[in-house]
Amino acid sequence: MNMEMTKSRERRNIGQVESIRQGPSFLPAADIYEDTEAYRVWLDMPGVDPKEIDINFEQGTLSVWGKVPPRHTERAKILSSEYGVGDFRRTFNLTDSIDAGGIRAEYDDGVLYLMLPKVEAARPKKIAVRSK
Amino acid sequence: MFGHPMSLMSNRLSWLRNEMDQLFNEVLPGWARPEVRFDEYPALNLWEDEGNFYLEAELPGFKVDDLDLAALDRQFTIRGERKVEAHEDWTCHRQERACGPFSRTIELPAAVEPEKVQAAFKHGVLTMTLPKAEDAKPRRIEVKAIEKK
Repeated sequence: MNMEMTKSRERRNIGQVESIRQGPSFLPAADIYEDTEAYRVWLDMPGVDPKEIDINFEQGTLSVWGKVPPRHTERAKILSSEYGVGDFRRTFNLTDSIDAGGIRAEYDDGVLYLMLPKVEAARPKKIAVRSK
Repeated sequence: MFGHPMSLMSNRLSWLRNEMDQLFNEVLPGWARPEVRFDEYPALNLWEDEGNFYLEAELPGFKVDDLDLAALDRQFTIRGERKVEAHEDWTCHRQERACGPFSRTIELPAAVEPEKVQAAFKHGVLTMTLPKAEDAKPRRIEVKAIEKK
């Protein structure tokens, strides 16, 4: 497997207090696929403002940070709270070479889709056999 | 001999893994993907003020048409199905996002007016406003001073 999570907790409802920021942040659930051309990543990040998504790719590490604006602060009385609301953060290590300039990201219906194209050298090649 | 022996080993392991996956899929279709658990999905947050209940659920990847909401007296039911595209010819590294059908019914603390329920769906967050039934609302009781004769 070429892709590894730096954090292993997978349940997004496990609150994780970040020391450098206020409020909890959560690990988004991920689907990650690979084909010959690219890695394709889907991350569940509901409630994120599409303008507030930071995606960084540096030295083989992909990090995603989706900021979630607070909801319902003005509403009177909480009766039941089964999940926490906070930012989504996750980091992945990719060992295969990625063409950083070609990374594409789309956010739709609370899901972030990332397409990380492989550099030419990392793609499988067909080798033609010549015969005399 | 081509390649490092370890990479050959890892290829064989991944072949074995694929074979096992296929075998399991034949016996138990869909075993690899975490199926939505009926009793707890989706997680719900509930607020109230004097006139309304506010119910919120995170449903990323759903379309409005995938959801079915129903309110009756004190019961509220949410049903739906998340369809995730199958990518059988791709190598899978992570498959954590749940898919499949779900249904959840909750009992609200008081009756609501089903025909006045409003729902909004934005960036995968469903927010519902459920107006309380007239007789469930707190009433202000006017106290009249009775004039003494």
